[in-house]
Amino acid sequence: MNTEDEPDWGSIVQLHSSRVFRVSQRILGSVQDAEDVSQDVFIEAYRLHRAGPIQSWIGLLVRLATLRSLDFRRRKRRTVELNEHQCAIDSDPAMNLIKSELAQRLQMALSQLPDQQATVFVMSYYEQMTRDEIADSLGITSESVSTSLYKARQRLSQSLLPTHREHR
Amino acid sequence: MKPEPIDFDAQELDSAVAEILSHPFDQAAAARVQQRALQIPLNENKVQLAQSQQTLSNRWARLGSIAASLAATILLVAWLTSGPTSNALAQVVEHVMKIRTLQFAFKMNFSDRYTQSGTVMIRDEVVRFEQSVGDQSLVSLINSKSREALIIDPIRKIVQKSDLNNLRGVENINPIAELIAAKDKSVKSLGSDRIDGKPVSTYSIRGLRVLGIVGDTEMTLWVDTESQLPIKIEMLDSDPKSKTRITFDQFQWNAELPVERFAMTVPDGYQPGTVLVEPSRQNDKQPTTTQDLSKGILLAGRVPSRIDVDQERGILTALIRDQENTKEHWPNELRQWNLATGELRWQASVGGAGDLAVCHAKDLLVVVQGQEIQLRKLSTGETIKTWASENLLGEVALSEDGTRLAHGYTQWSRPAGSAPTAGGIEIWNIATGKLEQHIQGLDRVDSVEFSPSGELLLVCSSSGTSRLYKSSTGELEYSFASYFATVSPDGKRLAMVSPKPTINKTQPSVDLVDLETKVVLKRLTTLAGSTNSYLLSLSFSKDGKQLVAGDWNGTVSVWDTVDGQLLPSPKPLPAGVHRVRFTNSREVAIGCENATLRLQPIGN
Repeated sequence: MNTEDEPDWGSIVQLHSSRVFRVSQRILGSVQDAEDVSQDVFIEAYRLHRAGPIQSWIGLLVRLATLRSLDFRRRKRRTVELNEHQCAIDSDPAMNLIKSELAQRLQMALSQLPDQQATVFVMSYYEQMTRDEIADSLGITSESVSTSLYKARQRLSQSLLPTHREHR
Repeated sequence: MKPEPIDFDAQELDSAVAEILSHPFDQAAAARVQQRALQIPLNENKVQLAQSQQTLSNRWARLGSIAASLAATILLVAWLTSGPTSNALAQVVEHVMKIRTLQFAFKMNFSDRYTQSGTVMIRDEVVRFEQSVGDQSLVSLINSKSREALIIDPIRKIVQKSDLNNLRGVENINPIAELIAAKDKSVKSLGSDRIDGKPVSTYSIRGLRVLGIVGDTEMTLWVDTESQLPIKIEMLDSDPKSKTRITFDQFQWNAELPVERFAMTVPDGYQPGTVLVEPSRQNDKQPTTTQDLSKGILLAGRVPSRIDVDQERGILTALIRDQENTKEHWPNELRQWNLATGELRWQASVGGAGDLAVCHAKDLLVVVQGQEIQLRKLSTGETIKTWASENLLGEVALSEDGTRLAHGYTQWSRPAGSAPTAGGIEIWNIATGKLEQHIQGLDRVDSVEFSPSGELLLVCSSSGTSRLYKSSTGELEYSFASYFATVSPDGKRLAMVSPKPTINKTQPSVDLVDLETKVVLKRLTTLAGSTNSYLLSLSFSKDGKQLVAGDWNGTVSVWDTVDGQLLPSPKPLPAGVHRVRFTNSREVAIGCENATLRLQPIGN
């Protein structure tokens, strides 16, 4: 359903498709998986678009991209864990490998977070959105954004610590 | 004061993020995503019964409890009047579409937890929704064409104007999954029945996933065989655990409904405000709080986000709320304790109130809730009067003589910078309830405070600039770089978070500044925290000789303001400190995000 204030679907896609794909790719670390998830996100978004006006397209799409990517990652968790184990055994102490493993661990740890914390973290870190922009996009208070971000960072930092130290 | 994100000492996290951000962006893949997304409408052109339900159930997600009930009603009507559904119901739909006005009753039982009931009237594009609240009715008028909403509280004579899209609050209802799962619906005839002696045909529609109900929703429809119009409709969650049932009956088709009842105008004698009505919850437990004075814990279980201490009377008043990560949020509360005995003197529910201010001398307490200002008696919590601003209110302050009230508001920025964050201050005369000053053109406002004489108003902003205004004229007196400050009890000094960069971000400084000369008298260094600092609370002792600071990194620092020395301070807490206040010269009360209100000794 389109209203006068609601942008048409083509504009929405052109404006936000890169962002959706980028968020998914950063969470999943795989172009193929990100393409699949992005497609699902847009199908879901299109149905919502037809159902009624959307308050914040950025908020909706980044949230959907984040949550659907995390769902995808959770479903593939067993595989990821095996890969991760393999990586730990074979890894070279060189810094680029450490960083690569850290990135993998962050992607894993992100999927352990509650939805709101994960979404706020992605918006802040991956999409470089300000606290006010996040609050506005998600329809939550700035204080809630701060708290979510604080907790997300705390948990993610804790998740990342042990592995990194193993390589020191 | 809102907390800012705090930088953890987390090199690993930063490295991991940097690594992820450094991955190349695959333009070709992004183009494929865009191309496929543009083609979605071509693949989704099926016309289904589900469409109108999608529209309305999507709205449902955005609406508060009042409007949500209404959405269910609109859903029903839209369903009834929407295009071809099935051959079995085609005749009913044909009759329904000829109807100009309609009135019916509804009753909604949600999981045995609460019930809503009332009456719905529909005339043209306006729906009048009357929800029973005690022996009164809360009225909502919604114009589905203009998408304007008007919520009328006849008990408190308050009217809230809103946009239909801006009404939201059912955060825990997520209809998205249900929308995705929506499939073709089949209508089944259940045969004949009788209701109130009238012969009826009964139909069932299964597989509706609407209203945020967990599991499939089944709609049963009883149609008068003579008029071919529905006389009862029931929606039932098929999940036996949910016990959710919505019943619509007492239908009056083409009822005589006076047009005045559908006027989207503010009735005489009403004032703008925030209408807050929670459905009654019959079987839910209230959030549990405890007390353990042997450990100095006055309250545990909810977050004391604001505190005031009246040292003369030995009472502490706190505004408490649930922790941010709590699944189900209960209304915020005001509570007041006797500090000597720990006895709870009174408590009051204040919905979504965000800040409080007090005037000890005049026994006044103010809380702001949405657009509404509530003036209460500090000693009893009893409401004296309420009035409303046109702005969504934030922080609040009372002058020491209790004659004026100031509050800040912040209009948040829109994405993509289409409208920057803007804030302002309103100063009201309490006796007359009239707006005396309106200072506009500020950025966000995070705290307001009258100087002891009431001459100045201190306005702080986490954007990094704080300002002192002449409260009588709104004239800017002094502007300084600091995100938070407070005025000493003698009105001669300002304690402000130092704008000077500190070596260690976990250990900021607080500057004591002479208000007349603007000279920094002392630089006080806080206790080091385990994470970066964000000071949310600064408070002088009654004699001005001590200062206490509460930090979002969990530290509480107490200084002797005469020699600038850090005094023995309470142990850091595991979560952010919202407010710290002296209860006497040897003890502070600390409100912490870990849902505790503690009384902690200070000094030697």
